[in-house]
Amino acid sequence: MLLHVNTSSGVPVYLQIEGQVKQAIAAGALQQGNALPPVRRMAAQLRVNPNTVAKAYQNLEREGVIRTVPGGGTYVADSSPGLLKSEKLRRLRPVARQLAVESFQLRLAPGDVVKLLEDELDGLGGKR
Amino acid sequence: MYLWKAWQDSRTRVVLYILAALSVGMLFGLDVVSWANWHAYWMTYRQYRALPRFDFYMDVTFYTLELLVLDYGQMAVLLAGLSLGATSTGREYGAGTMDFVLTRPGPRRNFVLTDWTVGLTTMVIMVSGLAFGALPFLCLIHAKGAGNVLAGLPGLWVLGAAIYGLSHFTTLVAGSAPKGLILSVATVLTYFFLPTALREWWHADALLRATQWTLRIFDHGSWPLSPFDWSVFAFWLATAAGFLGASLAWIRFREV
Amino acid sequence: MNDLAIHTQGLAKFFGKTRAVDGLDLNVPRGSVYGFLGRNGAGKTTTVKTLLGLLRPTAGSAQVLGYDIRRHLLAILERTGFVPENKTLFGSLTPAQLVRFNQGYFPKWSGELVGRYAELFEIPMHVPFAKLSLGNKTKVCHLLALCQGADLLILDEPSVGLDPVITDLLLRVLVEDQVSEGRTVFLSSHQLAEVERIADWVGIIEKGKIVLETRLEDIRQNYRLIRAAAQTAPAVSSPHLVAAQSSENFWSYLVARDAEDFAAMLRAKGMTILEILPVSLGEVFLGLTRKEVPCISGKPGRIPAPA
Repeated sequence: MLLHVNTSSGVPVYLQIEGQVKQAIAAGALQQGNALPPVRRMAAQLRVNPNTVAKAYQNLEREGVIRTVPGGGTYVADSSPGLLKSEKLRRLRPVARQLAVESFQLRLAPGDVVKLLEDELDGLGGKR
Repeated sequence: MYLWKAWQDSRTRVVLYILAALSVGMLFGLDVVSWANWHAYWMTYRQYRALPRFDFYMDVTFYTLELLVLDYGQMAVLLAGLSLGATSTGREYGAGTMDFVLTRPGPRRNFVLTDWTVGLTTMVIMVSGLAFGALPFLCLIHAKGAGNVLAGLPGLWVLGAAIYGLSHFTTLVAGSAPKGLILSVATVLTYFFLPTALREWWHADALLRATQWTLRIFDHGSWPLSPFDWSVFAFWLATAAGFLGASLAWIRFREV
Repeated sequence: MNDLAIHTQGLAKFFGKTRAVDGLDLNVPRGSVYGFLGRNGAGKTTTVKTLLGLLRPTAGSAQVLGYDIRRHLLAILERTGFVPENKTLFGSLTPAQLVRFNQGYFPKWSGELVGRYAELFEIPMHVPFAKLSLGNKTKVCHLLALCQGADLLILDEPSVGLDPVITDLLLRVLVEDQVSEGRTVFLSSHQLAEVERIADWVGIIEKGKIVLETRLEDIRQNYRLIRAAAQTAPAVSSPHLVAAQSSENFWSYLVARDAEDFAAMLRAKGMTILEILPVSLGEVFLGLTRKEVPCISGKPGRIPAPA
């Protein structure tokens, strides 16, 4: 599993890691039940502090994206069944806001933005 | 561990010095004895199956050799003490390895003690090598054996230790071998010449008398050789210990 | 304070009239990677040397791994791996011999790590130290410190002479073998890029004092640069204002938190907010230590009118 983090961007490293794990799952590179590398190895590979990776893993687990097995090992969880739709939408709102702001700046019509979103979802759709 | 490192550093030098000292001693012996009509001596032995009895000529030879060995020994002690004191430590402290050495977990005094031991041993070997090189020749030409040469050695050692201690201390304080050597040579020269100068210019005798008393360690002028003088020996021993103490105190408080 | 690997209170070291370290308060948590940053001459190396007993403090106190530096120096040296700024070891010994020399001092020495690192870092183990290049000398210094089984590593200018590949490997090794084992790593450097990668805490020293000590995440999450424009110079103050800079009618403010609130205050005073940006460690460092424009550093305060 190959991630890439940029330590001089404004985005905290743990968020970058979380984002890339989610992206990998969405793109089908990581399937349900696949193992993630242990914190130590991922940190060494990325040359970042293990606490950063640990934080990312904790957040991902809290969101139900991954789960840790008591004996050790971290795996991609089954798609989050326990969350209400309203909760899921609430999670997406900040990203949606950002998309809205950018589209506004670029003076794009809502219809164009929706089409863009649908294209992206179609690209992922077949791999669920 | 530091002893192992100090030995690694000095190994080659020590061996060379031993070989050099032994060779010089043997050359002395050979040279002096050769003009003592070695051939005649051998003929006497073959004829009478016995060593010749006390022979004035042989005696002179013997004592000349003794004096030569001891005189050159004194010079060797001076040179060896000064140079070994400077070079056994100068390298670490000039080269910037102090940061490393002084952060090893161990009492700082161990570094000075180890350097001192190795350097002092080298010096003792160098000076004694001279005497031992000449020893076979001394034993061969006189029934008395090595006589006072061996008795003169401890005096040389203790003087050497004091000079070595001086040079070691000045090198530690000055931070490099060349500077340390300059300081120690200056001290030795001052010690030799200042008392005389004081007497000549200010008619102050006291210092000269004091230093001359200490220099009795060199005293082989009379014949037979003068008996061993314990108080002078003790003085030089105390001086050597004093310099060692000064070096130990210095490293204890040293900042890098 | 047992949860701090290094703790100093008002530490000071003067050399005659020069105040190299002048009231330093350092708090390095155990198990963290602490980036000790400062310009040349700010007092980094003096601090490091004082912590390890190479220099005696003029005033103040310090504890390393819970041991007082004045009374229990030996205990500190037994547990600390040190890479000095001056990367010089015994010139006549080879790295293999230096390993032999060093391991006698440390019961927790790991021979297995020696072999692994020698190969990983491509260290020529049988060439006398004096004949090695600067990069190789640095590698050997690291080798000796990393295999010690130390609880704390103090690395002073660790990447001197190292090429980018080896520096990268060093970071990996530090993360994998040291930090993951719960050891503390104290990096004293002015190479911000490396520190930014693996540090979780940073302490910035300027003129012998700490001007900032915080988690790196705090900088990423909360520190913001607010760029604004105004015709006249406003008087602003805030407890979170770290530094300010101006040129003609343009202003930039570095704030430690609540950037939005600060921006609102600026707007209220008639300034136009151009943008609010996240900042990198380098920008925070420069903001606090830069000389070219009058700066407020470290403490809250009013901004002087531009000259």
